[in-house]
Amino acid sequence: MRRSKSARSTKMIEQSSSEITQILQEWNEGDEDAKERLMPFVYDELKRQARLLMSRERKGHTLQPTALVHEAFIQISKQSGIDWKNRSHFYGIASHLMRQILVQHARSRSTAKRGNNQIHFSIDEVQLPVEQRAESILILDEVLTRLAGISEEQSKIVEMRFFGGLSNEEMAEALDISVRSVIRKWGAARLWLYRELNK
Amino acid sequence: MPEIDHNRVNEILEEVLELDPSERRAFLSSAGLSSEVRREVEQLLTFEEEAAASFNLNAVEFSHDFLEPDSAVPIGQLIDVFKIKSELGSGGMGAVFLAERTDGELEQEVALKLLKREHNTAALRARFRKEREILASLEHPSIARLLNAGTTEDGIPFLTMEYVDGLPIDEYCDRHSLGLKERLEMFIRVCEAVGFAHRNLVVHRDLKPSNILVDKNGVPKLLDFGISKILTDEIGETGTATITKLGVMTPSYASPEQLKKKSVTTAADIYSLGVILYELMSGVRPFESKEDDLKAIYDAVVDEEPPMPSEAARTSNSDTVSRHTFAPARDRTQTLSAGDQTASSASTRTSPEAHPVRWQQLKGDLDNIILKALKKEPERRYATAERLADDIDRFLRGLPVLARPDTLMYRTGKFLRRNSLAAGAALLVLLAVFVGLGATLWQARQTEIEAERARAEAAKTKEALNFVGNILNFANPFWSSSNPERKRQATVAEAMDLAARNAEKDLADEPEVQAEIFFILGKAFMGKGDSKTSEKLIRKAIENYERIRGPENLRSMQFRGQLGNQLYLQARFDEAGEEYRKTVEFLRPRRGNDKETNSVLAGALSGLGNIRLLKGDFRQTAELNEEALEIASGFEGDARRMIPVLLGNLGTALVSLGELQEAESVLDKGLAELRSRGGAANLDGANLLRELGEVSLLRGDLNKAEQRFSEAYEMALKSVGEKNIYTLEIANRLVRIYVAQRNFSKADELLSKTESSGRELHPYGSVITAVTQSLRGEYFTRQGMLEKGEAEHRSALEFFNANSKDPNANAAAAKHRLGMNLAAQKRFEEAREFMRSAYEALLKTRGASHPETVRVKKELEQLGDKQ
Repeated sequence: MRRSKSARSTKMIEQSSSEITQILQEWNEGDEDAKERLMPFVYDELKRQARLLMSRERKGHTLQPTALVHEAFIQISKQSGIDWKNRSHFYGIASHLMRQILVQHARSRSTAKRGNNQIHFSIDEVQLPVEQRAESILILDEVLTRLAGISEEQSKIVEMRFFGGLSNEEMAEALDISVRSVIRKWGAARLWLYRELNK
Repeated sequence: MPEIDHNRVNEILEEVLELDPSERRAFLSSAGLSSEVRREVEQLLTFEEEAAASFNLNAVEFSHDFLEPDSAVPIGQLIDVFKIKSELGSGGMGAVFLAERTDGELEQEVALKLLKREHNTAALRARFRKEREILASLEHPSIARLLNAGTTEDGIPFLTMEYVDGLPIDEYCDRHSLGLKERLEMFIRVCEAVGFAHRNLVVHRDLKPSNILVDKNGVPKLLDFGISKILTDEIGETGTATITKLGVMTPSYASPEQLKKKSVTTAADIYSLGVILYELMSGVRPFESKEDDLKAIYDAVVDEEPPMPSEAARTSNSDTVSRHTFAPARDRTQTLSAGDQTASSASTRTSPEAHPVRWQQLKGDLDNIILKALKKEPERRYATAERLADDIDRFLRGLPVLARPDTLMYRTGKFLRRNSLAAGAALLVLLAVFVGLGATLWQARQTEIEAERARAEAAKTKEALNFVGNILNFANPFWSSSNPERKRQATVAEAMDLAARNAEKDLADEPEVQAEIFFILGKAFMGKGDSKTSEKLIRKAIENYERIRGPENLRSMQFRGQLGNQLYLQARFDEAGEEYRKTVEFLRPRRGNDKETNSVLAGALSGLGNIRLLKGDFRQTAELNEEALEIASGFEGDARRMIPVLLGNLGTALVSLGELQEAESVLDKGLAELRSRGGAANLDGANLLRELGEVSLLRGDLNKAEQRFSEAYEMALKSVGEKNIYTLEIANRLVRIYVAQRNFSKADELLSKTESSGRELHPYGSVITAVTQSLRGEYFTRQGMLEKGEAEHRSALEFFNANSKDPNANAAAAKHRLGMNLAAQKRFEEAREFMRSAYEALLKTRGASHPETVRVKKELEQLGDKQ
């Protein structure tokens, strides 16, 4: 079952590779709308990579979003065969899509009882039961949407960091600001997040 | 309220974070912010530490296991040679199914555990092969066998093990309403199985009720032995955290060393057994109320002493509602667990009926046994599961158990730390522990009177303390914690610490002011029960004055009196005596109109009297108190409260000297003084009546003694309640009368009351509770239950011997009683030994002519050389 499903999506991507090439070309040339059209492909690729990584038998592996996003980038640029200039922009998109994917999964796993949910996202929290973690992801998503209303940049930084696993340098490039600004904005964002999540 | 400009807040926040913390306040003041924005920024900044510690994960790591494609196995599917019949449950490691062998080899139902893909199949198999021999040797009726390891066609690793059709042990016990004895017997069987595995070098590492199923024949079976090793070593080798990766451990049952990721030995299983026993006995887990918060439960397991099981049972039984609210937490631990063969079944045990084990049954031995298994340090737990089982067995057979409460100093220290604001009680604990209550240290009594008052005005006091705390708090950014618990605790205690530090630093140029502040703080720390800090501060105050005004100055001498009290309360009697002596010698010639000088002198004289009393020098005690009384007679108003206490101490000394007539008149005077000041129906009156009762007793007038003790007891009950050392002290004397009158039903009634209050007040023993125990021994002895009596006497004596080097009246009385008990058992040789020792102690402490000495001497002679 599983094998045939992933085979299908691979096939789909192959079929669309010419289309991707087309879109990337346009984006490379400065067409911002192309970004929107690229999304479904990146989305599929990310999901495919996630599945691949999950099932790959690797000793003591941990699933890293960085690996996912990078892998998806490599795959897509391989298929499009073009010289990719907007790598960091791609990462930004990928982070946003990762957020969507995870929120979607979380929604299906969440027991949907909201309320006084303490979340910290620190390392020990992996011990939390799946349902609670799913709940945490959903709450974070909500809070992040609110943060975007206050500071779009801060919200992006949290998104890229948490969902895309991007480095400070990659985030700086994607947002076209200094690394120092990224660090500063992250520092401010997490204060706000912490408060909102623990309200 | 105006809407906050969040963009502005954010801008400012970003700028502030770039600054060094020391520069922030100035920046915020000069930035021209509206008060709303500034408040918002400041509030957010308080989260800095916590926020930095959070968000260490990324989302994919955080959600990796629900990213995995759904791996539900349809019923009826074949895995290897096993046909899936039904799902038994699922947990952090994977799902467990009931399956059936289909290869015809054996008609066997097995539990099949499907692991997550992340387990490395090859390594898992290799490890399984390595462990197989060991696991195969684990043939025990109470251990479910691990049978096989394999891989599904999809490459998912699985394990099979013996299927057990049963209920988790806690649920089984609750469903069948098993009582204390049956639960303990069941638990002993569990211990035996664990011990068996340990002897075969297998540690379980994840013992919990859901891993201990009880079948319909009532046989407990342990699941998953050896599994955690097979699984965790694989991960362990890669150097990543076992616990966080797999959720292998259930934090509620994990030992501190497991949570700290230190090396795990059989002692970890002993700890988990302790938690299980705790739960079976009390109905709750040691830190159950903290389980909703992982950080809190982690900290509690690593650092906090668990509440006594009896206490936990008492509170949870009396409040079934709170038991009910704990249910979700339990649900969660089951989903977390590695290999539950049962589906989550939390709801059944939270029925509102009372737990079949009564909390009173846990007091004492079972508390000790459970807490020994739960020691933070592995080496302080039971060395083996069998030892634990043995101790429970001893308990069941009514034999003394090996588990002992923590050592006295350890516990006393803990008590003082824990109850830092219960000033009176904290101060008097040491007195009760080391000295008993022959004499009253006026200063301690005064602190207690103040504490009583403070309790009455609790709200006001708290407000005042908060006020001071907040002012100090404000100056210290270190406290801007968002954790309300921490903040609350910080307020008083840390405020005082800070004040001390600040005084040290800011007042260095004004040593006299500094000394006064140190002295005030010293007294405050004394009230808080922190003798060490108090001592340090008072010593500094003395030093300051001596530096400026020379070694002999009025003020530093006044401070010395207080230092003496401090040392007395730390049971450093020789040093205390030395300070009192210096104070007295300096102040005596300076007696005059200065109220403070007079008051300090009278206090120091009385304090010195108490020291002499301890040394058995009753004559001097009497003289010192008389001198103090002469000074105090000039006092006015509230200061006169000292007089009845001094009279009481003088009375005690006279009673000890056997000067009963004189004692009676002094004590009567005390009562009269009290009555003239608004009534004797208070603790001071009770203490005076207690000594009057003693006078009657020594005269052999049991009825009069009973009457006086009873009256004293009533007074004490009314003014301070039954959980007070003075009340207990008086009750002990009354018991003595009842036993002597052979009024056993009254004796038993009062003994039971004092035993339970005593345990609550001094859970780890004190002179008072040891006296009670010795009286319980007497109660048995007099009714012919000689062995039981002997055990109580010996235990009491052990306490006295351990806590007092000097011969004292309490130990003498206990030896005397033990001697009489042994004589009744016709063990004359031993009896003589104790009686002689009692006699010698009495000679030293009370003198040859004291009625009690005379009596013991006579009894010793009667024993003669009987064989």
